[in-house]
Amino acid sequence: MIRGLGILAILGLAWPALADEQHFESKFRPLLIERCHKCHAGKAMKGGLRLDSREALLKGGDTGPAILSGKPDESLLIQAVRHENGLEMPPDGKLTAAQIDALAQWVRDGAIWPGTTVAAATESNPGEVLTTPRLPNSGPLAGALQLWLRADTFQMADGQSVPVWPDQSGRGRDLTATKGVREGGVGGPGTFIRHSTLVGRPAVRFSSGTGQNPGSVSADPTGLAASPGNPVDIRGDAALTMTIVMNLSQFAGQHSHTTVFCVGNPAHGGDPGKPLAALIEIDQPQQFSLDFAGGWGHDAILAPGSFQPYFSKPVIVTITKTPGPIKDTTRFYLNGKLAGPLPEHPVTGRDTIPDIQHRADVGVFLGKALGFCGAIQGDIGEVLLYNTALSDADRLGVEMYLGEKFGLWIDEERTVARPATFNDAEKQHWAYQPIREVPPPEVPNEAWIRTPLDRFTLAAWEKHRLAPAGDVDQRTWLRRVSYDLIGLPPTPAEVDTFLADKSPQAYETVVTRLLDSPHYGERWGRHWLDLVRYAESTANDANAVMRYAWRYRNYVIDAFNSNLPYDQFLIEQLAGDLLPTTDSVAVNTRRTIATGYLMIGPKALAETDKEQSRLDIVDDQIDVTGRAMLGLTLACARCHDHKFDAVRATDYYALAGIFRSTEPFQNEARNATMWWEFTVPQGAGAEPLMVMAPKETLSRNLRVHLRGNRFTLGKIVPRGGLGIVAAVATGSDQSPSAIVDPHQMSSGRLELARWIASPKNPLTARVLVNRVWQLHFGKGIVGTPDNLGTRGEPPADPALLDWLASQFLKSGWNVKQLHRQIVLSHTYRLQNAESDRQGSVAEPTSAGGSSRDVTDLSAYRFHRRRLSAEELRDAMLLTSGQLDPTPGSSESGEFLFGKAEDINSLIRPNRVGADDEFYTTFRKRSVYLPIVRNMLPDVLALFDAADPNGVTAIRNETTVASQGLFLLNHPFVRQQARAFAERLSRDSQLTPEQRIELAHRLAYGRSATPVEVEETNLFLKAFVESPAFGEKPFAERQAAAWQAFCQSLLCSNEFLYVN
Amino acid sequence: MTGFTRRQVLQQSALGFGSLAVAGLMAGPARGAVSGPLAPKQSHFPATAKRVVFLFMHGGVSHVDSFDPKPKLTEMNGQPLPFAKPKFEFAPTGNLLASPWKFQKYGQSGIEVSDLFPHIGQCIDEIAVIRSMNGGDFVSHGPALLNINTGSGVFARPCLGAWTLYGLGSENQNLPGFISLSPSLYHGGAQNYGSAFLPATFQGTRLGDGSTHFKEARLSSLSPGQAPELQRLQLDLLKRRNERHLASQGSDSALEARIDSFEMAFRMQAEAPEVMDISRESAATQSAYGIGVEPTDEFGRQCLFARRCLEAGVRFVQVNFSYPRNYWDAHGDLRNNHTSNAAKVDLPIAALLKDLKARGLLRDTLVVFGTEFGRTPAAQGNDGRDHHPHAFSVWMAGGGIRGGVTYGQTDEFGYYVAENKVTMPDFHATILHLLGLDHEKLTFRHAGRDYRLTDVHGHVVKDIVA
Repeated sequence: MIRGLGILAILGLAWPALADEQHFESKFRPLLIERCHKCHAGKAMKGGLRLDSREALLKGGDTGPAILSGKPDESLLIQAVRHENGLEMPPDGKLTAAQIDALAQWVRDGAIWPGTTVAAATESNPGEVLTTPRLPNSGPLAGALQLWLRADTFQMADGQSVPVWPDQSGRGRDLTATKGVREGGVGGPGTFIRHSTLVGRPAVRFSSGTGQNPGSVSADPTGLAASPGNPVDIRGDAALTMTIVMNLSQFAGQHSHTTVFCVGNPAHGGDPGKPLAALIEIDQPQQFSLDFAGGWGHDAILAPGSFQPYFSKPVIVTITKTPGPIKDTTRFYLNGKLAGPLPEHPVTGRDTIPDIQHRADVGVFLGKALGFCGAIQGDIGEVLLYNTALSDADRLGVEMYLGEKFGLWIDEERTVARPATFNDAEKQHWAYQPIREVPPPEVPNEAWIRTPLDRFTLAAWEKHRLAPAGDVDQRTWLRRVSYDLIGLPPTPAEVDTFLADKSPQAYETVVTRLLDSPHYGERWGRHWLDLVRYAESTANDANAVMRYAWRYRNYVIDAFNSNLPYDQFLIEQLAGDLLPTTDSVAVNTRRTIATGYLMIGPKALAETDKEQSRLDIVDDQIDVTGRAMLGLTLACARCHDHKFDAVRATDYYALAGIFRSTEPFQNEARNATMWWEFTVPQGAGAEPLMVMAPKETLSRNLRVHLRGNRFTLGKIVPRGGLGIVAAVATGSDQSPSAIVDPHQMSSGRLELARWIASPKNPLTARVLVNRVWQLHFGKGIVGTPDNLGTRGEPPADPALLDWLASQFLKSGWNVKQLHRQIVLSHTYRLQNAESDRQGSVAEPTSAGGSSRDVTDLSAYRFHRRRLSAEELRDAMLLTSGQLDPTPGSSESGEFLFGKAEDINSLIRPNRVGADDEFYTTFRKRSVYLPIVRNMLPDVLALFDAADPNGVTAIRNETTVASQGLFLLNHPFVRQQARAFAERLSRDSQLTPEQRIELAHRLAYGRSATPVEVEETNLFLKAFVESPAFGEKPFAERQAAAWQAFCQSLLCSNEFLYVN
Repeated sequence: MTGFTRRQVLQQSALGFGSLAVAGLMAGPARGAVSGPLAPKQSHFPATAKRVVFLFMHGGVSHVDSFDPKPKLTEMNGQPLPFAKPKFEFAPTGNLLASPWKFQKYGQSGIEVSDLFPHIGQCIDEIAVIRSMNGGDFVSHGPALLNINTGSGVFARPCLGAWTLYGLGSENQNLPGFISLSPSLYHGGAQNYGSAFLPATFQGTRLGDGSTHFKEARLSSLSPGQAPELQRLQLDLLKRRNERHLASQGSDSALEARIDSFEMAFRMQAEAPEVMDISRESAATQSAYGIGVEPTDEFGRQCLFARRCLEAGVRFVQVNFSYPRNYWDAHGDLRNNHTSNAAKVDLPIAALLKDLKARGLLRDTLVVFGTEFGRTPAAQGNDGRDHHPHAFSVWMAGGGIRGGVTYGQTDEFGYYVAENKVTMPDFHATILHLLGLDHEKLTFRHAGRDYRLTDVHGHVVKDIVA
């Protein structure tokens, strides 16, 4: 109808409209205003639906277009006012019959809305009908259903013989093996396969009898037939619909005519008037055409080769035959598309099918039930037979039901989301452009350059006609680089060594030492753990202990220490379990542990709606993957297309399908939800390891959840990655984002991981180099490190960002090499930005900002920073001599597990308070502290450690009184101060001045100044003499004084901040 | 930095503690000079409430047994609900169950309150009862608690108190601006008083937890590690060091703020215990709150403590009656559970309302009584009710609330909201409105998007605003 309107417009015809307009104004508009607009006009958009313009009606709401122009019966609005299909509107009472008729008439007449132009009408898209899955025996379908075989009802064990396949249509047409049962029967039983080639779903395996079938119990070819005594009710020129879900393969020795699914008698016997059948048959002489109806007389052969696309993959095939003689008037549809007769291939055979002849020996059958039929080989999951030609909506509804069950989808515009389209502005956003190979700029002052990135820095300063800031002294650089790379200050010995090293490689020697230190991974692994919201409990209702989460934590630390290429690092976390098994047990185990990435997020274990809980976990996984790996806020697209970025809801559900096809839980029974923990064998003689990792489950393609609601479902989205990346890469404005075969049995995580960790992905490398830059300098080249979208900040120096990214890719994703480039640069030696205000132009605005033409020099400066919570605790332990430098392992998990109580089989940490003694007495580095969600220990929570409920790309740096209280009074700090004081007095030969000197060297890496020595002496004296001590012995006062002095060093700004 | 630094201001305003000191700090010339994230801020429009006390009842108080009388339940006791039960239920329930408690009319307004809360009943003319709360589909405690406290049952979001502190700052820089008393360690734990992506400055300071008697509650690290004279000596040494360091570094507000924070900590450790010391209250006051006698001792202490905090300028105090020691979750044994819980809180809450009123504080102090969901009008077992987020009651008083009114209605069984549904975003929007904050304007930019407590929802319930 809409097309019709368009044609009218093309022909230049005027609207035949006056009467219609009157109809609209007199009847339709008042009705809409009175009964509908309260909830569906302007800002009132219940169900996402507005009814105040023609466009709005055609666009519709959550459940699809409100009207289909010209088709009242198929329009949701009309169904709703008629109270059809479970819809009932308006809620305050049904319209009168006259009103309903008026509405239907208006739709039938083309839904004319005065003031609407014809062009607007043709732009709308009436094809957007949503069909919902339909049970094969629902409503009127039940009466037409003749046979319903389903493999998912079998309770038997995998690999068991299937001598009988029960009919679920209610008509008692159970299929049985025919050999030894029926006269002339040759068909053996099928085999039940729990995880079949039908995307892992249950099926009955049909043996070809050639010995080629793995997993079949029967040596005979499988043939299952119903009893002839209960013939199907299909006669004469009857219409019918046959649907089968199968995955069949070709095999050596295949019969020329292979009967898949037969109703009637396929043997022609040479008499054109006699034997007849309706069947799905593979016709080898016709290049494996799909034959239908008639039998070996080839009454209806669809185009030669027509079965070819259906081999060796899971398919849903529906053949619909309309009533009537085969020639001329009868039509055959294959999955809703006209398949015969086609002009280029007319149907051959008889003019009519006088009758479907039911055989005396077998009824409806599958496979080689009879001696003269060809055998089939493969899996059949479900079979349906109707004695009508199902309407297209019914046919599609049934196919969608089967599709959801089998993880398949019917490639039709009505059910499958079209690839998203992107406009030029979206495609031109900087972050989606390929990473450029930018040569570093030429600069006049070559002597200033230490690593190539300095050229970018110097060029920027020169652009402002400014000389670069001065360099820091060696001590400051050493302290800066030590904290940055290993999270610990240099020891006095390390300071001395560096200062004494006059070789040109002195700086490089330090960097090599730091990057080779096992403490490097403890520092940089922690950065990654911030991003992936690492914790050892589930948060939410149960906050249950994840006893083996620490293995993932250590995996991350080890990965940084061993400089695992970053692309491998990402792939292992997303899909380590899916990588090909190697000969090395250690590598295989590591890869399984890596997928703990998918497990460590928050989980709502007590959520009643388990599917909702699963989808929330998927959402969390998408959020983390988007922000941590791709620098995009993908989770926004759960409810709607991203408001600012080129991320569509279909992109979200393409990803969600991948993550939903992986299962974190062992079972989802109420109150017993438990995630996967299992042992990984470690070879002969070695203890198996307990790990926490997900498992692959049935793969599925999700439907769009309109407004994020799982009860209002839209179209199916094939699993895949982000459309915009593909669109930019191919230059197309409409690009498939599929990176996964939507019918593959595995989840698609490996494909996704490889797509993310590809040098061609424009985001991944940029995100990483920007993070490393940000963590070294305190500010990223892109100021919003987990948002490279349009709402993030644009790069301060796009050329520098791309140069770093391209070098990083060239190096084979080598993170340590990137560190070297940065920390050995002249740029990294510059004084911190706060030391002068030179070159600090206005901070870029967070929104847009593309008109900025000055380069923000603060991106090239180190920014003074407070020690992170972990650095603070570790530095105190190191200074006091209390640090245990050995790597942590299971201490945290076992501590939490030991504190757990068991309620309803959930393991919860009970009373692990933020002030638990464990946190005070533990001596290993802070990265190994137990991390309980919602109950971080004081030292972490007070000093802005990452909240493990979400992704943390930039930690806050707060300054509050409670931090002062902690530093003054907390037992941990006081213990470190005491140990520090004891360390000073260990050598009893030292004079007080020497002790003061040692204290400064330990705490600050420098000597005490004369002022400090004098001031300290005065303090010690005044302290010892304080009347507050009462009668305390001198030695005790003395010890307290030294402790107080040491504590003041640990609390001082020089200790707490890095320049 | 121009004008006074925060340090200078605080040094100069060497005032005593308590409401006078706060008034002095706020009204005097120092106002506006206090800097930093916790400095008092202008509200969007004139506020009727300056501070909030949120009385949170953990476990789910039964609405049909407290503030939403349903004679029809008595009439049809033991009969099935004549229409469909909700799609989401925590567990299956049986037939309708009459309330074991009688309802009386109270005050001028004649609003009916059950015999569980006779003391609150006497204050009913100060109170606006919302009988049409709807908590969405969150039928479990964890998500439901997070929903009422943070506006989201699923994602990590800042809580109401954190948003309030972010919006308004604190009126006393020597005390935490947001204190949560005895919060549960369960059902979201610290997330229920956390700041999520807001800076940690705005998170609630926890005092005690649901597993410990409030008498035992201590602020972490508040007890000085050594005698105050000695600590002063130590702080002076630290200060001299830090000031030399600052001088060598050029000006840096971060370093300055750090120096201030130690001084503030030093004052806080001296002054916070004073506020927390309820023994400074007269015997008559303590007795009015039910302190010293059971079963009211603990909640009485919490309520009196809350009043002292509010008086001292704390912006938001959440008083939790929380799991596992205190819990309204009456799946069975409804009579005993609700009787004993109500006996613990009824008198102290009424005492708090009366005390605030007597001190002239009720006028601009918003008192909120809330729970994560109601309970099913149908029985669970013989004497129990299940979780029911589909309709329940909360109330508010003071701070610009119209007293003596009810808002919204449930159907005749109390199953669904029949009129004027109040969603969680509506509830939050209304509280922010009373504080002078527009819930649509109170935003924080995080991960590329402006977040709100009310997400994209929320309407102020104007009918209960005076």
